[in-house]
Amino acid sequence: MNSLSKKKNKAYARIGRAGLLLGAAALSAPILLAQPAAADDISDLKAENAALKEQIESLARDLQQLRDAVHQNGQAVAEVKAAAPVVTSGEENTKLAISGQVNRMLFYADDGDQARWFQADNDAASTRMRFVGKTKMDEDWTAGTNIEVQFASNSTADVTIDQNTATIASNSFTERKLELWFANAMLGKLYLGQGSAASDGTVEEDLSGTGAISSSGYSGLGGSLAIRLSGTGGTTSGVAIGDMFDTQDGLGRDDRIRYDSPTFSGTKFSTSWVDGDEWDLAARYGREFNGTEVALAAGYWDASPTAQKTGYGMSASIKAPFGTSLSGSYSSEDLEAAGRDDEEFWYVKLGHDFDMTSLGGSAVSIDFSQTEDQGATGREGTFYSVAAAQSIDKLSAELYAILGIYDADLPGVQTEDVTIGGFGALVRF
Amino acid sequence: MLQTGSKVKYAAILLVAATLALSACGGKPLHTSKWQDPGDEMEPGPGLFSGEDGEFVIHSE
Repeated sequence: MNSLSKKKNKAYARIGRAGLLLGAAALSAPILLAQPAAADDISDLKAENAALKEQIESLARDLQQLRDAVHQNGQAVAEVKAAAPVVTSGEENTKLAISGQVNRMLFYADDGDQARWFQADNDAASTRMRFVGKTKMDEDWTAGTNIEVQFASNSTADVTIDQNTATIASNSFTERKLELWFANAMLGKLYLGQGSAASDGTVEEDLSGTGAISSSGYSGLGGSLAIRLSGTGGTTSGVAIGDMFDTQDGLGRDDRIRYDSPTFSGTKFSTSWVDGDEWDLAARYGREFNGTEVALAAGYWDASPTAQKTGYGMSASIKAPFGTSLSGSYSSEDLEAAGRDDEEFWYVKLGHDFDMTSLGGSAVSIDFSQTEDQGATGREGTFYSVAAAQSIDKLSAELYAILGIYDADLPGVQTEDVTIGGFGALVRF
Repeated sequence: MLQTGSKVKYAAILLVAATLALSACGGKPLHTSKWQDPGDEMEPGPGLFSGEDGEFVIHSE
């Protein structure tokens, strides 16, 4: 490099440095010139910042208070949920529970002269509710109460072909059980009040699974329907289905004192003394052998003081592990009236239950029954039916259907068969 | 033809003998609702609203 070039470079360097100095001066000039005004702004900003800080701290305190309140409310809700029931008792080891069911069906009846559909309450297992109380007195003794009432609006046991439903005004609760009891594991159980006599149900053992609509107590389906005389244009015989198709199931439910023995290897004995000086005895047996279920019952009753009759009955049901069941019942009542033959009843039923769908268990059955001399000597009755039931587990319900025929044979006259049928649903709530 | 009193006596003897004989056969208990209750009794089981127990327990200790 020659000396001229070096001089040029030095000159350029000087110019560059001068430019930089000028630029810096230009940039710093406004700042230097504005310095007194910026100090005021900073002071304002500091004050504003302090105010904002105070507001934020106030909001934070409010937020914390809200959080505390929410937490306390949550605890309070949890405590309410975990609190004791609204209904309380002064006694320990007590329980009070409510349960019930609704059982409605579309019921069909054809008496040979007229046919009709009814919206009815199924008498095979009527609509009802109950209140069960129980208290443990000590290690051995318990006591309880049972109030169970039914409300069977337009019951299948009461409907008649000619009825005018607009005039039916007698619907109300009717008693089933109004009783108290004391029980001891070693001594048995003592009932006092309205409820089943010892012999009630001894003609009804049935393991078929179609009991919601089909049982030996079948005359609850159309029991008030009149039996018509053939070829008379519907003239009634004066006899209703219930007059000559009666299970004769002991003393039924009544005001009584009843004693049940403890159960010994599946065997239980019972006796009751019923208002009106009636009394009865009963024995029951229930056991399972390698999946085969067995249920037996028998009873004797004396209703001489009130109904001038004594009777006895028995029933048995056996169900195989594969679901097929066979049930049978027999009963007889001896009337004190002169010239009256014993009234008899027998019943047989073949059933089968199985799992057809995932909804719940299914069951079908066919049954056959005969009665003799019920209501009057010389009468004979025959009844047969087919029935099906389907459980709907998720609804705690049972759907069912039945078709049956009553064939009444009355002395000296020809009568029409009475066909009954229908379908419905039983829902436990 | 047996009189009613005789019928009852023999039936009772037969019943007691049969139940005692069956009692000695072992086996497992059967749920009481299947053999102790009349046919029109409410069967135990879940309820639509009450759930698994089939009853509203409004008080229990």
